[in-house]
Amino acid sequence: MIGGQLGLADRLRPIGLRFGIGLALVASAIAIYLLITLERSELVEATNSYDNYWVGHQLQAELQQLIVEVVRAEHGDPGATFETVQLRLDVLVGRRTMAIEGALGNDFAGVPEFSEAMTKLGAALNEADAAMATRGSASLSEVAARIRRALTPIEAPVRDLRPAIRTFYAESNDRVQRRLTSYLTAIVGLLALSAAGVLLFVLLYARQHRRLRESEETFRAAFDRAGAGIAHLSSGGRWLRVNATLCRLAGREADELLKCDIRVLLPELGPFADLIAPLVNGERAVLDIERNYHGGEGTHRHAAFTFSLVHKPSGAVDYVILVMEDVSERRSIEAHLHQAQQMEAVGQLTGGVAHDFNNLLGIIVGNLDMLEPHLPSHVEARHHLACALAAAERGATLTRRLLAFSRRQTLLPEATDVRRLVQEVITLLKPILGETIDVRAQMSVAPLFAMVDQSQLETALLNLAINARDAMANGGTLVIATASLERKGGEASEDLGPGRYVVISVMDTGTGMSAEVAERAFEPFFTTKDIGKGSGLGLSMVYGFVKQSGGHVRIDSAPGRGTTVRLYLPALMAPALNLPDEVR
Amino acid sequence: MKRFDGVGGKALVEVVGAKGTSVVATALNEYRIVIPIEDFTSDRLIIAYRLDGAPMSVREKGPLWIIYDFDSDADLNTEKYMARSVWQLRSLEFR
Repeated sequence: MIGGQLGLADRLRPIGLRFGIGLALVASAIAIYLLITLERSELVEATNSYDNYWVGHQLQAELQQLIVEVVRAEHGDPGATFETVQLRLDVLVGRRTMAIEGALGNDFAGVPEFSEAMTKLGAALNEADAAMATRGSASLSEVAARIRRALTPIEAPVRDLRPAIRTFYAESNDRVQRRLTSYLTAIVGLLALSAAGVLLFVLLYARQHRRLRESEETFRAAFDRAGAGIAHLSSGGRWLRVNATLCRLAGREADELLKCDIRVLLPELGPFADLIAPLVNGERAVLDIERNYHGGEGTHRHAAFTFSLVHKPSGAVDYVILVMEDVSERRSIEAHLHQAQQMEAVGQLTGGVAHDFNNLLGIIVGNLDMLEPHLPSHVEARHHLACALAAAERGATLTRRLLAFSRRQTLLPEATDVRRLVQEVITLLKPILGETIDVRAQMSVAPLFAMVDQSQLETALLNLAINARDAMANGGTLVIATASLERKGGEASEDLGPGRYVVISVMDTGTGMSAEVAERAFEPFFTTKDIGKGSGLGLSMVYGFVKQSGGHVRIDSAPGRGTTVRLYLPALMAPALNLPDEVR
Repeated sequence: MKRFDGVGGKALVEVVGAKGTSVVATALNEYRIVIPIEDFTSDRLIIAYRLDGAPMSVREKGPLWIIYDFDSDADLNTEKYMARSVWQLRSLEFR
């Protein structure tokens, strides 16, 4: 659940799940119990019904057998004797006992027809026994007649037993049927309930499962596609899980990383446990460090590493989350920006000072000029005056340069054929640079036009050429090239916005300079030349002039590999051109 | 717990030299049932004539009663063997 908001439905869901399962279980259990009970009760009823009916039948049959035997004896049938009558009597007596004690007695005992028939039968059989007891004195036919008379009244009640049993069990069957119906209804109802419970469970489970999956996918996507490198580390610093960005930053495959620990990126890192100690002992919630790291294949980059802990429910450390961001670019931009701001500040300062200073120099020169006619033709005095004037002029030149750097000089931009201007400067340069330096031109084929102050551009190129000469004390090659450059929106940088530029490159094969020197080369009064040899304002002027013209300057240099200074001037678009026909 | 004494089914078959596959048992009241000869030859039944040491009268389901070995074989305690437990036994006919 992203955001941690638990709605009512979410809180009810676990209850619903348990309720669904519970309902299904209870309903099934009751249904099974009912089914078993029903089956057993039905079986008992059926058995009893059958047994009792059978006993009723036997009772009647055996009574008839006795009556037949008694009648035969009474009428002098030669097959009938006291013994045969006794046998039939005994069988019936035994049957009566069984009927009362046995199955028939179970649930039929309370039925009036049964108890009445059994009582009457008992009395008749007692009478029969009494008659048999007289066998010593009475004749067979007399005894038989007495027994018959005793038995006659019980024929009907015994005969009626069977219909009574049938009726009783028919009613009982009805009861069973009714019970069966209600049981079945209950079972169907319970099964429906349990099905509903199962359905509820399945639906809720499916929904929960789906939500869980969606949530899981969301987190996975956040992990996998995050712009920052994310990893899980063991408390010992081993990689447990890494995302694609982290692999890219580390310059290694995921499976390769998972085989080792964080020291593959930060070899100089001490024990990982020491690093995360402030997190483990609760001093800090997150830990930020910024380090150079091995970005694979020998590259070194700069990154910010943020560590935080994930605890187990027991409170022990489960794993460490690392968020890693490559800050090389940001740091370099920051450094760049810092430098630009510094230049800006120095420019404003020097500009302000130079401006006031220039005004003062103007007053000095003006007054010196006015002083001259009034001086007597005293040679020494005039010499001092000339010196003062020359110094004031030098001061004025200096302030002009400072103003140029601070982008406050007066520029007279005009549509300029840059190739022609460069050609002219090269012609001018050859005698200045001397014979040890080979001057070459690499001109673009297409004409290049820029809106620029021509004399300032000439001065700038002269300054660059002189710097190049000073860097090539033992001779070398100076190449001045012109080219056209188009910066698309996506490639634009802070210094160089999108648009078309005329690029003038001044390349030398001189001593070159270190990155630190190149970084400060545009600062005013910064020079590597011997004291008195350079003003430290040459490159500053170039920088100020190009910036004031809407362009940019870059230095590309390394010790021993020469220096290339590139001037980027905004190109003049065709519609803005107002040129003689031949160059169109 | 009742104790029945009688003639073993197997012994009976051997002594009388009876042959056949089944036995028709008939009771005094003309109740009749067919019993497989195996019930006799496997000695699962006796023809009991004493109950708890005393002879059984007709009124006590005697004098002869086919009794199966219900105590040692629970499988016998079914409707089928109950029906074969003929009391007031009058005759056995091997065929």
